[in-house]
Amino acid sequence: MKSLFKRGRTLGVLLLTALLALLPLAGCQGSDDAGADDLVLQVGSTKPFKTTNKFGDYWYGVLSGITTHDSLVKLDTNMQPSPWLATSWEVSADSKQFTFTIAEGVKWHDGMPLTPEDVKFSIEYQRDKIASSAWMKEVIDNVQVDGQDVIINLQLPYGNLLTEFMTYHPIPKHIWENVEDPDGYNGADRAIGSGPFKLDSWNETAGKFTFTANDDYFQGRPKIDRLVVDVYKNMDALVMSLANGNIDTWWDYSGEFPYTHVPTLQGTGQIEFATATFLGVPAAIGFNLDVSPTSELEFRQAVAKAINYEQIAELVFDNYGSVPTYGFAPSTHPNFNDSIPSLEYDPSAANAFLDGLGFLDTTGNGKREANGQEIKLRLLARSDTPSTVRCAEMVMQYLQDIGIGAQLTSVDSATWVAKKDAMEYDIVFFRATPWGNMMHASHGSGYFDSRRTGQGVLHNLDAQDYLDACDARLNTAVADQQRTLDLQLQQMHHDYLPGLALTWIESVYPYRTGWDNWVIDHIYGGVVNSFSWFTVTRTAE
Amino acid sequence: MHEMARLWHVVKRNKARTAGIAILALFAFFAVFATWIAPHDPWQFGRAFLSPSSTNLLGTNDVGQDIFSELLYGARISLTVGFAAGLLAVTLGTLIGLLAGFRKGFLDNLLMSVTDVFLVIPTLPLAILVSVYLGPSMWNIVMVIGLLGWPATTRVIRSQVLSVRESGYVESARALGAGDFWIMRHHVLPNVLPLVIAKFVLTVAMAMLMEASLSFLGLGDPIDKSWGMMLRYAFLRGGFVGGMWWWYVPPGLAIGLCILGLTLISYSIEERSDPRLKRALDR
Amino acid sequence: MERHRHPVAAIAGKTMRYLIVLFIIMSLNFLLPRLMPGDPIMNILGEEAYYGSAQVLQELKAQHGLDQPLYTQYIRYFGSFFQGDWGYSFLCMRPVLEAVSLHLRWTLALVLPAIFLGALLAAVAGALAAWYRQSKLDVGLSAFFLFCYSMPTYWLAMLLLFIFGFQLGWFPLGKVTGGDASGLAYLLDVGWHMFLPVGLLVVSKAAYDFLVVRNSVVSIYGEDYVLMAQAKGLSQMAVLFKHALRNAMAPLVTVTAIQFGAILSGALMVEIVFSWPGMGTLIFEAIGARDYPVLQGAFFMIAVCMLTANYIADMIYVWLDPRTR
Repeated sequence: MKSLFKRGRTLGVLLLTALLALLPLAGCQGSDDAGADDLVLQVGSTKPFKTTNKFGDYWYGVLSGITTHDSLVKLDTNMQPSPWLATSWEVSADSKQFTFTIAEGVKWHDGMPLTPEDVKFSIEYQRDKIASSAWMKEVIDNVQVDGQDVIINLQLPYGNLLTEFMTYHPIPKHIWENVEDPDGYNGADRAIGSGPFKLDSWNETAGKFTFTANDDYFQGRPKIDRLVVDVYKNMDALVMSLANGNIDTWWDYSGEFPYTHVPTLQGTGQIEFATATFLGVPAAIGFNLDVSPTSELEFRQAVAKAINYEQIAELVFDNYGSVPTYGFAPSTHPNFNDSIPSLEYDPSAANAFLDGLGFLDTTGNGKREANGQEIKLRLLARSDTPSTVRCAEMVMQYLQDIGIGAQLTSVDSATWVAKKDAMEYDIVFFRATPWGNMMHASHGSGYFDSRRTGQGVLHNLDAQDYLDACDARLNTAVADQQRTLDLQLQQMHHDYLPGLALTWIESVYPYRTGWDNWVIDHIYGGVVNSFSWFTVTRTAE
Repeated sequence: MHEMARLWHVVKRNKARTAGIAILALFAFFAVFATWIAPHDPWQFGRAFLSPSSTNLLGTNDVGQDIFSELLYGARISLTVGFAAGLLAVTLGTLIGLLAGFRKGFLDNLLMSVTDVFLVIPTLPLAILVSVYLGPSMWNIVMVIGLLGWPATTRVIRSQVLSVRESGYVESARALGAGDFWIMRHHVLPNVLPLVIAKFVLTVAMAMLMEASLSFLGLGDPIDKSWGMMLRYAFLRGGFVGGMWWWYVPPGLAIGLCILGLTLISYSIEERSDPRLKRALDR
Repeated sequence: MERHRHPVAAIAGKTMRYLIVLFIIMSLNFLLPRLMPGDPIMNILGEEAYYGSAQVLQELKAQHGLDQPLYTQYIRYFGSFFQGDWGYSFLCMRPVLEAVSLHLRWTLALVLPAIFLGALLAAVAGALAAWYRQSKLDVGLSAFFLFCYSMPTYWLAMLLLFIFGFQLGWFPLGKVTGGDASGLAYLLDVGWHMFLPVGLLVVSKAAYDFLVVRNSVVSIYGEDYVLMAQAKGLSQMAVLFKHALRNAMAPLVTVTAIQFGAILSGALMVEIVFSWPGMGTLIFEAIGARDYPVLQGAFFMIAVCMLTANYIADMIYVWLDPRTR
């Protein structure tokens, strides 16, 4: 008797199922294994990499800056510009001419020499073709080549050019000169740079980059033979991998390693931590200066006094946080103004400010009123960083403690940008990245200057003397003048209070025991940075 | 005495339903009286990452909020979303089912085609899409589930209306001048009520699960204390990796238990109203 | 009604209906971004377009035909849709259709085995539970599947990952492959990575089917032909599998079609926990980046999968139905 469930058929169904399962997986390739003696560093990351086009993929662009590509100058661990592709540079007295002398004997990964002509091409190419480099159109007049020198003539004095150029990487002219649409360029040679590592493969399915050491690197061969960047979709999986020994360390730019996971890793006895002061501000608030009551300086001062910074540092940043000053950017930045007072939790002072403004609780229900109506502030936060949302919850509580009602809107980053630009908030929660704090006129001014636009910035402060100070700072490359203006700008953050840092933090950078001699870098990503490639060692277990 | 024995018999025979109702009653109790029975204010910050103790029965979370109190308050969001969405879906479903059943022909065909469409719309992706467009809110979730969840009810109601229409006693009632409304009240509704309740209960379960999923994805309101949001933070803020079972097990279990309770109720109703099955089970 | 029609007519009728449903879903996909609050150009092109100047936005609008009347856009939408032009994803740096297809295969790699193995598991477990009904085995199996049915799948996924991946280290911590192998080793590697997520989905699919199979087998107890078969001396197992399970096939197929959406939703959430590069992860990332074209493409693709599943279920039903044979 034939039956549907005859044994043979059951087996068939099983086989068919297995086949169906494996069918979609056909057509993937693996990469060949390296020698056993090779020094391999496995780095975990949670950044959403998609392609190996540094122009199309923001995160690959950042990663390429410490692996396959070089910049003209780099910021050293003392926060000073140091030579890299450019062996030296000169700035004219009026800050309108920058001359970079390019190192000799540098080669692209395909063996072609890197020439000053390539550098000139790269600057012009990025100015003309890359949307995010559009600022160059207003700043750079022309670029000349003279021997090994690249001379950049500016339309206006621009003191921040060196800092800006730390994130710009020369690209080979012979590859890109015919590429009209750099964002979408798919050629296999798009990853070729001059950096210490060559891109070997990118397996999107496995989420894995493999880089190999560049034997011909002009500063010497890196100590690591193979660099593997393992991409995870969430931090939990990455931390578990770190604990289980699948990866050696973690890389991110501008994100902090979640402190909540530190005890677990310490418990394994296999992981050590390096710390460095985070140059950004992981959690900050900005005020809407156009609407009442946040347009009142005393009100903003009241809010500043109402926040329990110690508690935020303890609960949200697990005691790795510290109480900031009114100056906004942390003390590791050059020209830090140490005469600016620290923020302070003082609810009675906050209440005094509010009483002084006449915002009283006349009905006795614990809620203050302005013009006969209970105050209800609109708080705006991004939902994608849990620590920000936690901060927002806490600030909401602190406001209630001084009789200020508040309503928290927590939205995805894109909605946040839209609402922030439409000024649909009274208090907005944001974060400042390390580069973000250094951009524009430095010390976080890029976040507050009302003339700025961009995804992360608030552009809420339009006081004329502040804008003038920003312009003056932008227009000079003279150290003394920069210092005076830096101190002044920080003072203005205190005086105008357009926003404030909720905490400053020590970032922690985990790495596997046995790896030593890292260079701890504040800005390029902790232990994983261009300097570490030439110092790091591994002792056999 | 005799009555009591009868009642006991019914309860015993229907252990599943009793258990289901008991579970739900417990969580409903939590939801209603959370303010009184919760030992702490779940929004109050304190010492973080405390292990369970007599003051904090389930310890504290990453910002020192009492997890047990969060759990009790979480019942509010889950049950509110579940029952509101279920009510919306079943009301819509019943109305459309009645309309389709009584107005045969073109309208019936049209409504049934629409029902087919709604049956294959992937609910979770659509809910995600709509939540992203409209912003995080518990009521958006209610709307999406309510507006998508009605077809199952509609089908049941319609087929019941059709079979009742054809039956002889309705014909005679109609001949005696009874209107559609009268027929509906006296013949259709009593017949379909158990099934409607079963569908309602299942929709409630689906809505609760979806709320938990959306909150876990970060599409919920962070100020609302919901079980999905608790799981989200346990996942993102080190609860899982740190092995803090008192943080991530209770909310998951709470969601699961509610759904278990609802499923038990729904099954027991469906079993009772399926005579063939009833016969088989009683054997 | 339909059931009494000739099978060919029945199939043609069904096919027609599914095409209409497909058309309606496409229209929904067209209308959603235009009905929702916010600037439709952002809703349709994704947030990347947002940072352009007013002039750039106007050019983009013209380029994508968004300055045309709605009915023109509607016709164009269908035209480009069938030519495979689903828009461009800034998140994935590739056309939406390509991005969605790439991720779809990994989702199917979870869902298809889950459906077949899950049905198989449910058939065996359900039949056994029914045969030994009221026994400890029955109670145990019922309780187990009821538990799996009730608990949120993504939560179970997290528990599995934590226990078997992290604590015991038996399985990898997510992803589909380590990426260092090729050929057979690659397939084995993928299989190893698949074990936990597929295992979980198999059990949750079986949980949907279990009671259906069990009740269906219970219901034919004492039917004449079963008693007859037993009287003829067929072994218990033979009777069980030949008659009882055959009877359970039709409801099993139906329930698979109805629950396909739930299985798929479960898979989407499980993917996020297991860093699985499928549709769930894609949707999750697209939410964060507000990549509407991807969200819509994913939504459509999932709807097509559900339609296909329902269609296949209908066809099997026609084939199983003795009246149409």
